[in-house]
Amino acid sequence: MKRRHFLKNTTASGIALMAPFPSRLLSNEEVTTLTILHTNDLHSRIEPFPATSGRYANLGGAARRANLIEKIRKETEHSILLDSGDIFQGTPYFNFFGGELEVKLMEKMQYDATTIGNHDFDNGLENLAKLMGPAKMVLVNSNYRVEENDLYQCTKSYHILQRGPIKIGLLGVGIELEGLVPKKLYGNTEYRDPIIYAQKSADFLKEELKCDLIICLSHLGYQYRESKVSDVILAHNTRNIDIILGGHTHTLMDRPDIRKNLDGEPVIINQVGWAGIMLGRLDITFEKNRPNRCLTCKNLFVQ
Amino acid sequence: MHKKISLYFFLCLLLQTGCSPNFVQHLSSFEVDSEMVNENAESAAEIEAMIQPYKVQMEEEMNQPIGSLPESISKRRPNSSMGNWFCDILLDASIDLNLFPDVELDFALQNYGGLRLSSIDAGPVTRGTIFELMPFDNELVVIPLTPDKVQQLLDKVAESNGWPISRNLNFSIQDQKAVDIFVHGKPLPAKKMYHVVLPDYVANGGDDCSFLVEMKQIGSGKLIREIVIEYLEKQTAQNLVPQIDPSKRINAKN
Repeated sequence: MKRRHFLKNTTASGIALMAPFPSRLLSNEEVTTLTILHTNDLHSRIEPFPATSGRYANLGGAARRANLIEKIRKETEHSILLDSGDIFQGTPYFNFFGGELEVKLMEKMQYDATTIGNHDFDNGLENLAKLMGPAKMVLVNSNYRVEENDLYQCTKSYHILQRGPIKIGLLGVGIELEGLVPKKLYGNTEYRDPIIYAQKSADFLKEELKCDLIICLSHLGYQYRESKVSDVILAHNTRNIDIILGGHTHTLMDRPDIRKNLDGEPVIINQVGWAGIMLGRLDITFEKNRPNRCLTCKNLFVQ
Repeated sequence: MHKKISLYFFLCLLLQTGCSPNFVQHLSSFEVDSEMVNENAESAAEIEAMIQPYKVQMEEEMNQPIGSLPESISKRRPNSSMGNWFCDILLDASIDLNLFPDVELDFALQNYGGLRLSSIDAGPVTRGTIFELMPFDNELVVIPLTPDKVQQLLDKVAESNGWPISRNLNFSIQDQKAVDIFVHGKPLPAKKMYHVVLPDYVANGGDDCSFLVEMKQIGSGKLIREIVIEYLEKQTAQNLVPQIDPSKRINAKN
């Protein structure tokens, strides 16, 4: 409760401060804004929830999301579109067509990357590999060992996106599969400690590839009562990760959670429910040739 | 002029200290908004056109009514109308469709996360409803459990604040443990072996039930979804409307 109060206070002052700066002090040539759009746990929700779905009634739907994305792309200079896994499972579209339409629609919307959610194994790892192999959308995961199966050909432990002058580094982390996903579906995919492997990718992206911004696509879940690894634990126990876009726990956040990493630097955690009911939006403004960066967040219900 | 310069300096100072390098600490704003989307826009139309052939093929089968519900049901912990309805179907269908001919079944149980709809309205139930409720390709199985293992399984259920269970089983949750367990109205242990109907996902150790992996499994060879659909269709053909038992099968003591 206290935390929310604090954020509300910063919100008020933040808006007040935000307004004069770019216009008075910094010309357009001096700042660049990157718009990050993201979803998680789409769960084969191709069409909006029917009117009989209680609190989700009429929310979501691929067509509306595509529209919203197109509108924001037209209004912004630089944008990226990301997803945090569990694209599959939840409507008969998946049972009937095995995820083909889900991937096709994300390709049409020009998603840049996604990560592997536990339900993305639901038709077997071979099916996931078959669908993601030809896709332009990149499958990023840093902690699953897939060297000896079909996913090896289509999974990257890190990925770079360049938007204008901004170099964005992506990594991805997935949840423990044993006890959650039937073994026959994930086969010889081996789960490894997400903190260690996220750190490896983040360090490489930061120190070797000199990325300006590092984003982790996570399917670990936002937070647990027990000590199980989560986005919050990942944030506190790593460095060089600026943003964690989460999934798995279907957490509907109206504003990001901001945690301190090992170096005391802030890590932004955002997650937007599930089934495409909300589109996450983070705008990061960079000052040219300086480390200064500012954040605004506007998560949007899709209705 | 002087005033203007000092204001400029003040703003610069704020900008430097306020924004660098902890970029979210000061110059940040957060809001949540709804966006009404014009569905006639071009991009939406293209997406709709991509969906259409899939939708037509799927809906032909999915929109077939297979039964009806006399009232709305919803999913909650530890008890719910949906949980009772679903687990009673698992038990009744197992008996009615003679899925496990060689054993006498005691009760059915379904992991909470395995039911994927939070509510179903009163009225017609379609094949699509059941697909959305139970999208997973889980097989229905029976595992024979000693009273100790029943206790262990129900402790797991208690720790999760309750899972859907069928008639024939009642217990209480106290300090995240299952207590006062009754099967067919008789306190545990009343016999050496209990036969429990459940998804193979749980029997194979899913939802942190690794202690079940070593148990013998009797398979039905059928997916839960197909069993539920077949049973509801059979009931409907006989003009039987399912009864929703509102009873509290799990009593949460704290």
